[in-house]
Amino acid sequence: MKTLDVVVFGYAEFAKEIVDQVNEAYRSVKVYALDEETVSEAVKEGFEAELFDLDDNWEAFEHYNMQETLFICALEDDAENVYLTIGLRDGLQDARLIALASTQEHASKLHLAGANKVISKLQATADIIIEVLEKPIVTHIMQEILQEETALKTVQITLEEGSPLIGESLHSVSIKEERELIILAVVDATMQTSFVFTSKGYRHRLEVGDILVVIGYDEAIESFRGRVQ
Amino acid sequence: MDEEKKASQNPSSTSSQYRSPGLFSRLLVDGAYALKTSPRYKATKHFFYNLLENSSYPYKRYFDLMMMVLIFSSVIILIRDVRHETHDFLALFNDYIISFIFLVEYLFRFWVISDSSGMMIKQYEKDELLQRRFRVGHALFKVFLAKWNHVRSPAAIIDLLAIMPFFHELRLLRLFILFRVFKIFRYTQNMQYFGYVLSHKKFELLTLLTFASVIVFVASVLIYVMEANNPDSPINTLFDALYWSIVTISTVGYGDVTPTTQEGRMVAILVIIAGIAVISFATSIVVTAFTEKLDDIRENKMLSDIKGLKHFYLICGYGIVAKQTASKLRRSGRTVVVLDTDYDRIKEAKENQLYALQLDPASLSSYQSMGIDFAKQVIAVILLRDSDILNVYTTLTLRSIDHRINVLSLLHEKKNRRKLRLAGVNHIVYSQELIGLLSKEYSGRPVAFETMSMLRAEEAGAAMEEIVVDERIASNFKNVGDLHIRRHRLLLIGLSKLSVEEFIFNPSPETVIEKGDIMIIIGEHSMINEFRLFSHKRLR
Repeated sequence: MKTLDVVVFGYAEFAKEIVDQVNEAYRSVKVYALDEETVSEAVKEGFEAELFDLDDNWEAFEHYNMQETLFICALEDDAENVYLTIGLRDGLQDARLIALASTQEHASKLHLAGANKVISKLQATADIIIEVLEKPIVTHIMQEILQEETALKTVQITLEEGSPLIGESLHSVSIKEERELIILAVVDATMQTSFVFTSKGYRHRLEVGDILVVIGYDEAIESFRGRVQ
Repeated sequence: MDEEKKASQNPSSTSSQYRSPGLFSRLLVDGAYALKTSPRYKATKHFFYNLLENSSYPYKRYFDLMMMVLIFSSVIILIRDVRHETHDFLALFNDYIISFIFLVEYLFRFWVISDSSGMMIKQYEKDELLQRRFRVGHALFKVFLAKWNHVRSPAAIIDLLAIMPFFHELRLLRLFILFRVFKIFRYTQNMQYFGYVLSHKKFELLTLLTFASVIVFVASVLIYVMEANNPDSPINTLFDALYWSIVTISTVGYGDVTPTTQEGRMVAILVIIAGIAVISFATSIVVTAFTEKLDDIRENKMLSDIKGLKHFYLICGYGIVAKQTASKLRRSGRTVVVLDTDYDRIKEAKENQLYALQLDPASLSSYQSMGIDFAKQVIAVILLRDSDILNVYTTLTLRSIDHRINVLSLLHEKKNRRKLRLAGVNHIVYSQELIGLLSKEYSGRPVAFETMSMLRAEEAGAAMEEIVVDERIASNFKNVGDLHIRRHRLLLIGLSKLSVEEFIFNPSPETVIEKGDIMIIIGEHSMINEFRLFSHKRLR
């Protein structure tokens, strides 16, 4: 389920930043805007853009491979964004949808509308403000990881059939790899959404399909990936 | 012109006059300079000033409490004295010890209330500048005037009267103990507010008093004329008449003295009607005074509460981001003070149980009126105003107060980042960029993203915490291996080394830990707390 294409709806201030950030990282990034003016603005700034309307005309998006495409609903108007999300969910049932919410109330509406992930602008801003002041070092590290300013990265590695780690306990794997990287958490394959932090679930036996969240330097991560997959 | 000419022709006369101050003046000026330059004298005077006059001084409340205890014990001893033979020690305590303490307090207050040496120096330097003889008499008069203004103030008069029971041999002076009760005004802020509120209605109260006095005067004379010659009437003297009219106009009406003649009763009717007017007028004055000043009183209470806070975050601007931030900070046990110019926003902040003041965060006078100590009280200032212009302006105001204040500001438009940085903002938060980064992170590594955001939000019981290596930890443990982090079911992500200003990811067991380093630890809250305690326990 590796993302290759990104579709961004809207081209307001938040959407612009998203397009800016993801532009380099994916095979294709396309902006869909509600009016001609915005479309031409996006095109002028060097992005691929097209006009769309909120009527149920989702066939236009069916050519995207749903497994490889991420749809980001970032329209400026809250109501329109909810309407877009619900329309997308209805028209493209397997689509992966991220939606931007301005308030908590709006966030819960987007969840109900079927977004896989809702990022609350307000919540994220408030969280970062408090984090910067209360935990400056943690914030700095997180920021560096997010902005990829250092070689330090967080990655997720899915355990596949035949991996030498299958059957081992999380604790023993962590001890073995301790010198190189840190295994932060694991997502249990049988209970898709439950997280087990290494510190807590050290007895957890690794199975096929488990997703390890690893933090470490590029080189160490790549060599670990090579060994376990 | 002529005088100028004369002066220029005969400069020696001016300078000799100016150069020869008398011995007394010289002694006074020398003494004033000696006091003004003595750090010990200044510190002592400052301490007593704070203790007696500065309501934001933390120890003043203990002093006030002690004085109030003395006042009440004094009154209790007086009441006991009426029926019982007062115990010798209590009499001694009341007449000498308490009076003596009050006398000392009076003298100290007399001392600190004005800066006599400063006034003396100011006059001396002014005369020096104008090249004329030091006008010692003028200086002494100014010093005297400042002290006299204090002595004749109602509060100082009450203070003086409260000392009077010292001369307890004069029986009447014992009653002056009751004046000590009035001293309570000095020591309780609520009473001071009461005085403050009524002082704004001075004109109305004076009008009422004049009106009531005229009515009482006219009614007393009238009733005396009507009733004094009537043998059945209890009103025989002018004092009886005055007593009756005051009892009647105040609507108390004891009924012990009543008019008996037809004419007298006519006067009574008039006085009763006037009495109703006086009472309703008085009530309305007091009520309006309080209604008008209610916001002021609340504001003052809020200001004094804020002055007393130990550590707090100051949020400037109360928009939607501020609401979210403030409520999150409050939930995590932090104290938040909000400043905004908008009345409705401040009202909302107060409804959300925050300390909130309707003040302009960009104005220096706002902070002066708050009287807070940024270095000691404010953890950080969070600027969440509606535009970058306001945030820049507010930062510059804050920087002019104290360059060490930790300032975080929200950035509205990317192009203004440099301006905020130049103004001196320590941390800039640009939400658009943050959301962009988060979206990118989520699109690429949803699971890793969730893990990190769970740690950030401290959901699922786990958190990423910073533990500062202090003296105790540094003396307990030499290197990372000694900490046995894994045994505590924790992960040590890294160590921020103070000495080399470097972040070491996943430090090896041999890495030396020093005071000032910061450990970044991931684990369950309870485990982190347990580890915190363990690391501080003296092991060596």
